[in-house]
Amino acid sequence: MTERRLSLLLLLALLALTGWALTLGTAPLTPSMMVAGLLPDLFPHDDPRLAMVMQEIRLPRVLLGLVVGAALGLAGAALQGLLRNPLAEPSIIGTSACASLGAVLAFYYGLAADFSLALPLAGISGAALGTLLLLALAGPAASTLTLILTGVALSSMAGALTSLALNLSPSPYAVTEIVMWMMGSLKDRSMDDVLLASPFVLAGCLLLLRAGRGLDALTLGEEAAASLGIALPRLRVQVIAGAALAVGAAVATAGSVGFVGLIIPHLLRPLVGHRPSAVLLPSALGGAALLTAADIAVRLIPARSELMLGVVTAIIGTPFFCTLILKARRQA
Amino acid sequence: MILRRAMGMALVGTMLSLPAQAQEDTRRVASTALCGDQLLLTLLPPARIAALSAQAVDPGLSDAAARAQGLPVLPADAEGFLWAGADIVVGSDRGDSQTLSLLRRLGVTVVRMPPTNSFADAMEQLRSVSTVLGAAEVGQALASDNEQQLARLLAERPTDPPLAAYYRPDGGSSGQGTFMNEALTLGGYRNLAAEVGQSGWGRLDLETLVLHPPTALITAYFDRPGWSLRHKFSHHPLFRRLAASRPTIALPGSLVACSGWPLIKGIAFLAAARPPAGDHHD
Amino acid sequence: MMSIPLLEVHTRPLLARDRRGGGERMLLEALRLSVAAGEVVGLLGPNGAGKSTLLRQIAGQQGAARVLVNGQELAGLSTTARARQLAYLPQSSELHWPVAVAEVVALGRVPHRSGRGLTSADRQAIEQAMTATSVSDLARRPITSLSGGEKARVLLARALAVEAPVLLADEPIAHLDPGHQLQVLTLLRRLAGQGMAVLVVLHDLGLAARWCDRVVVLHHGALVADGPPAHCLDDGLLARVYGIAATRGLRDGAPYLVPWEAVRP
Repeated sequence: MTERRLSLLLLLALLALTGWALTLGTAPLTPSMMVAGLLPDLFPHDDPRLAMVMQEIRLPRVLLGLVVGAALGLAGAALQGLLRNPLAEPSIIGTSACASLGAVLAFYYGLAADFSLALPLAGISGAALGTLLLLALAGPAASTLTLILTGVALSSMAGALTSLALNLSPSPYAVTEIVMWMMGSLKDRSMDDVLLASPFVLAGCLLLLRAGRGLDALTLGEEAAASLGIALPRLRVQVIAGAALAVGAAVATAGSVGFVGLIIPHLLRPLVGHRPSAVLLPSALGGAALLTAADIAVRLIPARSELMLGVVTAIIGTPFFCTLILKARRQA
Repeated sequence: MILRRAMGMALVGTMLSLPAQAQEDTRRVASTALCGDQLLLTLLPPARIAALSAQAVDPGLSDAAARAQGLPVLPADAEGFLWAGADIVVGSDRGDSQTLSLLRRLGVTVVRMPPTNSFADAMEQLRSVSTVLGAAEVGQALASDNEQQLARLLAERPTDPPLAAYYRPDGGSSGQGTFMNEALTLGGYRNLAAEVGQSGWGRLDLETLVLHPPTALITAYFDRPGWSLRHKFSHHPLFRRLAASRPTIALPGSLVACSGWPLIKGIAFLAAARPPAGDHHD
Repeated sequence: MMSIPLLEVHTRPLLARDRRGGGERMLLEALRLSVAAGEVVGLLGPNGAGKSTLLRQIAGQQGAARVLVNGQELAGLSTTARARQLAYLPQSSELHWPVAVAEVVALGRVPHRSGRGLTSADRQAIEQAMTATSVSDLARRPITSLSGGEKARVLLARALAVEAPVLLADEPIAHLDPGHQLQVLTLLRRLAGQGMAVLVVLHDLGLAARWCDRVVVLHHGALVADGPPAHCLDDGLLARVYGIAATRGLRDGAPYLVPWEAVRP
């Protein structure tokens, strides 16, 4: 299948899922009410709550899901290309944990309340620092083992520092808040959150999408790629900065949602012949679709309180993770 | 002209936001969590309650569970509250900040009820929240009644209060700076966790318990199976032996789940169950 | 035979910090090297002599050697323009994804491409490279499913698709069976016959003597011999550099050599 056809299919799936997600919510709305809420100018309705529910509650949630999902899917695919390892995923290699740490610190010091950009910026700084540390520790073409061990080390460090911040936190309730936030959720986000995260995610995604040729050349290893005129230091900076922008902003607004960047490229790679550049755009679309689907599942699965998004993606993602480990073991 | 119109609008706004004395307040109120539920169920007529949290109907946690029967229960999300027609939402500061800020954006009045750590703060919160809810008189009366009850209890407080160790099933206790420490002190006890210098809701370990044998053990939520992963703590042989050899006061969780109302009932319960002070020998 | 050299290299001394001694160790001394169009030059020397280092220097990946192709300094060129002048086949043939053979060969066109798609010139170059290395039949196979010999040919095709006048190949026949070794060397000869300058690192002295126009021998980072194999690979050099003695002979008038036994240098 060509990259373009796959992207088109994913886009169709994405549209369907987006439509479905818009129909879900606590308020019992009929389809005509939903349409009236979304397009009040075309279909006037006398209940002002309709427009509020559709435009200010459901729409931002769905949009944020698309933005965050695309960021995670694309960052996963690009990092995998750079590190040439299908297990390189923001949550496995510690990028997400470091982004969380940055965001928790912003929470902890109250920066997030004073300055709305503080949260995404802190998340991005955390993600960038984490990825740089990973590269410094694991090296540019890390083996699966090194990569995972480094990821474990980074995640543990970020986790420990997060716990420290929580321990030092004056209120047990702030702890609950932060712990819940870290499990990831798109619940009750507003258009402000969408507008805050989108520019960073968009900038990050553009950087990552433009790295395709370099990632393709890296298939042959670093020396061959360099001999083909690929400036490797620039490529590394480009992918790390792109992933940090996208993942940092995504984690800062939606909490840590893992495995999206692992599942989606893993599923799509065989369909486009494993070429790293061909996996990029489909992974962004697929990531958006997966996160939207997970957010639908969160609301459909009956539970006392809404399931956390990160929990659902982790439950879906772990089998993929195990499959990839088994595969890597067979190849070793 | 424009100025006059703006002033006129401002005036109308003020009038709308103030509940007219003569007219009955019909604004509907929802709560995201247990402690807000307790206030709503005590201060407001059922017709004004738009939604309660799921815990409101749990008799093990909710003192007003009986009154909550039949009232709407909703998960804490913005859409549900908006659709239920809530004009005011009482939040808890426990993981609902996104929901509350979205609701505020949508024009809903939001009252945050962060946990208080002293009885005086709790009464102040009770008065201010009830004013926002348009139930200032009922709230004022409830607070005064709480304060009078407390004054009576304090008058009977012994000069030499017994030492008590408070436990939740996970081994967690409550040290300095917690409302549970306040409840124990006001109820006429010395709180072991606070006396050994602990603060916050951390664990009071068995060694401390053995080194400083308390006169009484006070337990809460031990009747709730599966309440905690570390429920095993309450089955520890040492703990059971210590518990068997001294008065153990099982405090109903519904009386001490919140830092404000109805904590006075918990304090009264503690005072009524208080054993005389004295050194205890195992 | 000696016309204007197609490839001309002047290296500066390259030192490496010695981790144990604390001092500095000479990786590669200053040396001059040239390869003419149509020539296959074998780069020889025992392990650690500096062969790969020299090749990496020429490829512009390490140190700052002065490299001229067709008399043009490469230092002033952009990385892509430089990549169009030198095709480099590194020693480690890493392949990280099961990409189709045609896609791997197409990577050779990276220095030529500006947009996303392949131009007809790109397609032609890819096809020619695949035909020359006889890997056209494998075009759709994932590269990871190929045998060692097939893989070596595909990687060579990738280097040929660059259509550079110079080919630098670091041990392209290591890990290949004799049949495939001869196939690759025949191919290198043919490329030289088409006007390329080929510089190839080899370990097999017998094959080097038979297939190279010239050999360049490195020892402890210094150039110790440069000339026709029969002349350079004499008993003294073999004993001094490799610590071996060889047995020699003639077949159809061409000299051959087989490493025979280890000797004290």
